[in-house]
Amino acid sequence: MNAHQPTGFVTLVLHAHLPFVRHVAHSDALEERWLFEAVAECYVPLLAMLERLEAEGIPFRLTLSLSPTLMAMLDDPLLRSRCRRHLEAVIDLADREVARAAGGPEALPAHFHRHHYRWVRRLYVERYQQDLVEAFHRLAKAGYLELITCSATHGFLPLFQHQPTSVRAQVLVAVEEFRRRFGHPPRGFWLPECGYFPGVDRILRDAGVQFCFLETHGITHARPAPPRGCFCHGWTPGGLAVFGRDVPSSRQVWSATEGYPGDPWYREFHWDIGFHRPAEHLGSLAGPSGSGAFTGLKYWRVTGPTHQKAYYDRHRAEETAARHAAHFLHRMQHHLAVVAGLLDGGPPPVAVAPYDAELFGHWWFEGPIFLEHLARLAARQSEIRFITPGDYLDLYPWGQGPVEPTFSSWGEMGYADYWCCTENHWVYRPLHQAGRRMAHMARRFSQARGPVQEALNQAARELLLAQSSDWTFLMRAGTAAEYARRRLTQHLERFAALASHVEEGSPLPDDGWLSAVQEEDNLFPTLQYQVFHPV
Amino acid sequence: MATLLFLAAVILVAAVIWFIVGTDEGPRVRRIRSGSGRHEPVTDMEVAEELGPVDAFGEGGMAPATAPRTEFPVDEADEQMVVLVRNPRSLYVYWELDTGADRRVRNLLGPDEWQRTTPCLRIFDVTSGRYPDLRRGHVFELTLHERDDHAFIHGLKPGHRYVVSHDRKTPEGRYYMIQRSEPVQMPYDRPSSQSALYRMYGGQPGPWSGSLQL
Repeated sequence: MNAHQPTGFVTLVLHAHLPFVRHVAHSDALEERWLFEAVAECYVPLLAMLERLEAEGIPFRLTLSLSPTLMAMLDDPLLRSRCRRHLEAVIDLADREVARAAGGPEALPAHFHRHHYRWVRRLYVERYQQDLVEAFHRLAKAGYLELITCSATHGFLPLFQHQPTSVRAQVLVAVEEFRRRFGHPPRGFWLPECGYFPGVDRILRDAGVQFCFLETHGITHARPAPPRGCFCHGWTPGGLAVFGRDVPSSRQVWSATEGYPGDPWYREFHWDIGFHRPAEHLGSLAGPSGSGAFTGLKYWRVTGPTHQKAYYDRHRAEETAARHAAHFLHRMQHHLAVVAGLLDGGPPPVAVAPYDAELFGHWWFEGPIFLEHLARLAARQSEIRFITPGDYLDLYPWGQGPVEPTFSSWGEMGYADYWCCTENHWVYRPLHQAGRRMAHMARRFSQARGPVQEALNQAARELLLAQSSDWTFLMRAGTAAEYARRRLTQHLERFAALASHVEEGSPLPDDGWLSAVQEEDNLFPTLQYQVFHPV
Repeated sequence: MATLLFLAAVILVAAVIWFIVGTDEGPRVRRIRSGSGRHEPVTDMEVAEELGPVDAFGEGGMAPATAPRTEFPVDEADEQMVVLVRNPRSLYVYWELDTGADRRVRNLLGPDEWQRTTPCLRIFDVTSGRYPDLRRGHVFELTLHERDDHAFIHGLKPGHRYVVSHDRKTPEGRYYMIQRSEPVQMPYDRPSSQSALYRMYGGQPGPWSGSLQL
């Protein structure tokens, strides 16, 4: 090992994704708040954190996966204006809360949240001009981010593996959306839910992708055993570099018992004043029919396994985040030194730590602070280095040679059970039938123009939206399950109406129906239905 | 010479019929009905077990699948049998009813003989080849209700390849195939090495999930 070579590398990967939720006719759809909450608590704080590092010249490398549906929503003028309005509503509520809490124990957390939301609004509206994708792009160009993407609507690809046209369409549309925004194809691809199956590697490689990430056992259960396990990428038969998830670094953050986010000093996600105040006080932030809803104002800390929650102390929470960052760095130094000792020469090990981006800030409110401290501490040492998978590929292109990863995911139990179980298995018959029908139409009408082309393009959008893994995930989780069922049904019904219109000349529901659907599901503006053409 | 030729032809025809129809010489395993209809115990499996948790079934077991159905405007009935891998020991399979193949078998048998048959699934282990070896028999068999159109299949072996066949079975144990799936590969369920690196950091899938709820 030369003097400048670290013991090992760490790759932090944040996967940012939300399902496409855009209800033109309903300006107060509760599900649209998923985006606004993520903007306020995750995306803007992450951007601000990285810009602070940049301003101080502190080097850091982070990999960020932006899903095509999330980018479509972040770009959308209607959702931008609704997001701004939501932030203003929260600030109005925070003003009322500050007045209400004056002199009481809630005064400090109320003041903190008002400050936070004013800060977020100022950044979102004035600094970023509501264009967060461009803000991330600028940081990528500045060398702080490696941007990648995931499949078009976050389809869980292993459950479509017998239907390569659907898998290919999910990949190609995503790659094209990335290229349209950033001017080049993504080097890396986030497989939704880390869902890998042998064969998807060729489709990704054909689309120009160089690497992707797998759950640990996707690599370690491979036959023959990759000699360096998850600590170095390998090359699949299809010519794709695959990185496996590192167990200790992942568990340190994910685990409900050992993980950092459960620390008693951190803000408690589930306790929100939206469930403790009357509807008239919450104003437009109240839920349907005046029910409780998340507002983003959360005055309590985790405290412990109790329902008697203590008030949030921002100072102590930041101290804890700094302590956890130091602990994480120390653990990774030790971990990689042990791994390097177990490996017989070759490239230094790389530990890949992927997380849902929304964990940092939205679920774990102090997550961005943790990352900032981690970056500052990492810059002061040389034992381990934070890099991106692309950097590692450039340094050690051969990796550990060929590997044959196995079917896997990072979902519960590690495979596809979560997305194909008693609660949601029934979706696959109509989804697969629609996929076959779309491929058939793409072949039959390969050169359509005018209204037929428009109908086919919209049919392709509706099918892609129906294929989103979010719907089956929500059905299984039981959270917003009815909404998920409704959305899936709606997209399949729209697809069927368009397909019948194209194939048999069946009339659409009314003259303005197609325009209304195009307006509602307006993502992927350059999509061409021929992407479903069977190869 | 003519006699020999005649005998050879008879043997050949018999062998072809035997291959097409199949036999019931595979290993006997527990059989239960699919969950999308009435639940009646048809074998040695208790009713309580039949209605138990999805993964509480042993070798050859099968869980009920009774989630509410949503009707979609799907107009294409494909003669397809689709098998989805759920985990190293479990598959989900669905198939189309009232297909052309279904009608062909019905016509072949005639209405009376058709009434005597019952629908079933047979699962073949094709790890050593692409197509089922009917002479070696199926790994196990699941009896279905007439209107069953899907099933969860548990108790399979990690790393093996399987083909699922949808058949009509006569009381005499003859099978008439309606549909057959493409082969599917089950993933492995354990690390492929026992080195120190794998023992320490091999990772085993578990109940935790890396994905957040909304």
